[in-house]
Amino acid sequence: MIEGCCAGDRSSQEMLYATYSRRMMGLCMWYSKNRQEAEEILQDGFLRVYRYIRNYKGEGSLESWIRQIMINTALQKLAPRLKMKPLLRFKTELPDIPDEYSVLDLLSEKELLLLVQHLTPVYRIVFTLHVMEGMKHREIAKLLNISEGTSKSNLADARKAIQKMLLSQSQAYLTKSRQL
Amino acid sequence: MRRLYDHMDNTFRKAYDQFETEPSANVWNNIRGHLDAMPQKKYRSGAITKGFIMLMIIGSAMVLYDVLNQTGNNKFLPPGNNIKSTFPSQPAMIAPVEKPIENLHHYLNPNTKNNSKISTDPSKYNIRENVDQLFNIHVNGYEIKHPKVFTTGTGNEMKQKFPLFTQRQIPATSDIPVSYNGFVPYWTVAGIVSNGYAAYKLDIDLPSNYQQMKQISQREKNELSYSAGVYVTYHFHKRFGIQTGLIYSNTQIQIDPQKIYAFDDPDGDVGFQYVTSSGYTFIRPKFSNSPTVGDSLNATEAKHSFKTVSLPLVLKYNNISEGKFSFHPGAGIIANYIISAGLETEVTDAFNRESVIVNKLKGTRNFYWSAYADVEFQYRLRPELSINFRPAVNYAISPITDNNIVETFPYSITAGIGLTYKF
Repeated sequence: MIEGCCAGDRSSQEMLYATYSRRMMGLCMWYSKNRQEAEEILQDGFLRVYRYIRNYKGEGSLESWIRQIMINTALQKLAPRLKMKPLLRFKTELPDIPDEYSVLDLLSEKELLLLVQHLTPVYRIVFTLHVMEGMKHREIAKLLNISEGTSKSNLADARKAIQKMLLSQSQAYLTKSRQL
Repeated sequence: MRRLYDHMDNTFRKAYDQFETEPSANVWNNIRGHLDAMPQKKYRSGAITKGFIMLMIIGSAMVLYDVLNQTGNNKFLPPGNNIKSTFPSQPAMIAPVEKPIENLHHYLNPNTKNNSKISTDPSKYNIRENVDQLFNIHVNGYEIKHPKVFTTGTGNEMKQKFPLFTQRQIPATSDIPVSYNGFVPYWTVAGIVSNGYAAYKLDIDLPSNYQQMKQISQREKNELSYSAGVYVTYHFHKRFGIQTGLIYSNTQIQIDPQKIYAFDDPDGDVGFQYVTSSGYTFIRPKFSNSPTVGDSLNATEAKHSFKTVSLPLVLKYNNISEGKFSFHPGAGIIANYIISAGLETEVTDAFNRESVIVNKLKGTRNFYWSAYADVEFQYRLRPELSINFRPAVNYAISPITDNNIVETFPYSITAGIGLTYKF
C-alpha cells in the first residue's frame, strides 16, 4: 500500500485513506472548533501524507507518522489564530467541583470533545498537546513559538475554563436531580 | 485541585485515544480532485535549472579541454631539459624554440614581424618601452614577469643598464633549458553592471493554498531587473581563483489590479490583506479605518520592488590564453540580504482614493541563499585592464518568504558588462 502511494496509485491512496480516516478525523476534531474545520485539516493532512510518504522510512508505526502530520497540519492552519490574545483571563480561583456531583465521569467522549472545542484556539492547542499528546511545556513553547511561561499559563487558563464549564454543568445536574 | 486536574487529564486522555468519527464523503472527493489537478511534484527541472546545469557542463568541458591541452607544452623544450626556473631569484631564460613565439611581438618593436623566431642574441631585441610596469612575456603559454624595464637599445647597452642582462650572458647555445613554470598569485577587481530577466518559482506547503498560489502567479509580472557590483578575485593558482564581492540588485514586479478583503491580522486588528509573492501586508486606509472582516476594497495596479545586497563566494577557473580573449567560468553560492521588499499601490472605494506605500512587507525573510554560475569572457585592452562580458545564472536554494501563503524561490538570468583591473 505504501509503495502504491509512493507511485501515485489512486487505489492505494484510497485504501490508505479508508484505513486511517476515521481515526485521524477523531484526532482533527480535538484541534478544531467544529466539524468543518476538522475536515479541512483532515483533507490537507492526507494530501501532505501522499506528498511526503516517500520520506516514511518505517521508523515507528505508519499511524504515528500520519498522526504527526495531522497535528502539524492543524498547527499550521491554526497558527494565525494562536497569535491572538485570549479574550478571557482567569484571575480568580474557581471553586472545586464536588466529587459527588462531578459530571466528568458522566460525559461521553463527544461531550468531552465539545468542552475542548469551546476553548479558544490557543487554550485548546496547548491543552491538547500537553494533556493528550503528553508534550512538555518546553516542546510546546518551541512548536508554537511562545515562551514556556506562556504555555504554562495557557494550560492553567484552559483547565480553569473547562472547570468553569464543568461547574455550570454540575450545577445544572444538581438542580435537575433536586427537582426529581 | 491537583486531584481534580489529574482526574480531568486522565478522562480527557482516554476520550482522545478512543474517539473516532467518520468524515463526510466530500473529504475524499476533494482529496482526489486535488491529486488529479496538481501536477506531479518533480525536482525543479525547469529551464533555469537546465541552463544552470548546461553552464556547469560547458564550464567543466572548457576546464578539461584546457587542462588536457597543457600536457603537450614541454615538447617545445629541448629533450632532456627540465623546467627549473624559480623566479624571481633566477631570471627566466628564454627557451630556444623551433616554433615561432606568437605573442612576443606585443612586446617588441612594432616593426618586428609577428612570426619572428626568438633569438638568444639580445642585440636583436628592440623592445618597446614599458616604464614602471611589470613586463610580461608569454613564451609557449607561460607567463614570465620581469621586474626590470626593457627599453630600446642594443644588447650591449641593455647589458650595461639592466642587471638582468649583465648578471649572466644571454646564452648563445640552443640547448639551454627553460621555460618558466612558476606562478605569482595576483588579484583582480571588476566593476560589473548587469541587466536581465528575473522571475520566481512558487511552492506551497498546504494544498488548500494552491488556488491562491495560482492567482499570485497570474497577477504578478516580472519586469527587468538590474544589478551593479564589485567583484574581487584572488588568483591563488594559475588555473583557479576565489571570488567574492558586493552586489546590489533591484527587481521590479508589476501586480495587476485586484480586490482585497478585510481579515483579522496577527495583532488582533482588522485590515485589508494584500498578499504578494514576497510577503503580505494589512492596509488600513484613512477612509476605512475600522473595517469588519469580509469588507472589500479595490487595489489598483501595484509596483512591488525587491532589493538585495549579495555576497558571492565563487570558484573561478582561469583559462590561460595567449591571445587577448580569455574565458573564466565560475560557480559558487551567494548570501543574499534582503534590504527592502516594498509595495506601492492605491486603494479605492466608491467615493475615496488613497495612495499606499509599504516599505517592508511581512512574511519576508531577511536572508536567503542562492546558487550561482557564470562564464566571464574577457578581452584584454592592456596587460592589467580587460573589458568583460558576463552571462550569469542565479537561483535561490532557500525561500525568501516565511509564514506566507506561498514559498518563493527567485531566480535570474543576467548579462553583465564591466572592466577588470589586475594587480
